[in-house]
Amino acid sequence: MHVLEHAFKADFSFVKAWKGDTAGNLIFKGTARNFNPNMCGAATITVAEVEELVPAGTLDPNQIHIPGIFVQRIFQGAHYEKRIEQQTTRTRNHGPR
Amino acid sequence: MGLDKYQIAQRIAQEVKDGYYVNLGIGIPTLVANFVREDIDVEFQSENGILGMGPFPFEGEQDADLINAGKQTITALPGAAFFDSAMSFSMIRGRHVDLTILGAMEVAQNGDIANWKIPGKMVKGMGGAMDLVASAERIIVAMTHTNKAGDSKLLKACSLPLTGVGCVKKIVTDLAVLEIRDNVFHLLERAPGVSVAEIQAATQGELVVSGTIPEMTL
Repeated sequence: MHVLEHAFKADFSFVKAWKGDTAGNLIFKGTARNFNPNMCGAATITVAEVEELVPAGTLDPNQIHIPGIFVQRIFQGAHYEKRIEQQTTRTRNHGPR
Repeated sequence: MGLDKYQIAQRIAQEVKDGYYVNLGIGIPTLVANFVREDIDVEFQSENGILGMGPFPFEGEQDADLINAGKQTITALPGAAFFDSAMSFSMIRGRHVDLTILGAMEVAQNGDIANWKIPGKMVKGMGGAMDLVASAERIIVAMTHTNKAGDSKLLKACSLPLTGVGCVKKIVTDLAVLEIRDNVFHLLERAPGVSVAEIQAATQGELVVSGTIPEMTL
């Protein structure tokens, strides 16, 4: 038995990456990768916001997660306020108990 | 009396074996990581895209770009890897994850599990649970034996929308360790101080009790 869900095509994908270059190549950070790379290419126009935008040729090609062919617009964001929905920490002396 | 949530996690940790890749669900399952023996090598996977998940960060070291599938801040251990959702579910559907530990609202004696939706109540979706229960070689359910209203969560048949069909083999509750075999619950262990009669009374599904049931050791 199987279920086949056909992919649907969107007009726009909005993704957030860590670093990007002017050729549209993207590098994500940590678990923020998640659905972001998959959404690049799922739309006609992918708009990428990056924390750091560098000239093409600056990023190591070995480290690129998404090639620029999947990215149509790119810009560097400003005033980042990284909010955390669930703050979970442990103390230095004993575990989370 | 029964176990508290930390003790349930502690008992489940005994099921984690050397070399396992383990996916932990939200809630009690997350606590299991704290009780796994330190002399064995286990890697935790979180389906939002990390293998090699470590404990919660120390206060002040939280990173907004480093969370688990339950949106909690975590750490990455040496040797950890990040990946996107497609690769994460390739890992899961490709049966590379050895053990899935997850919570449940209902489990039926045929191994059906319901853990994502109460009709009429708004939920964001079932997340990775459907893929996890359909694919993992071993699935352990961590839950309380009864719900807040006192009704049994171990049933003849689930009443809530299912997450998976016939997939649960083992359940650890505040009262007992149970196994599902031949479409019935088998009682394996009792929580310290809990009688077989109390477990029987809290179990709506068919429960097989054979021989003397030992108390679990924590």
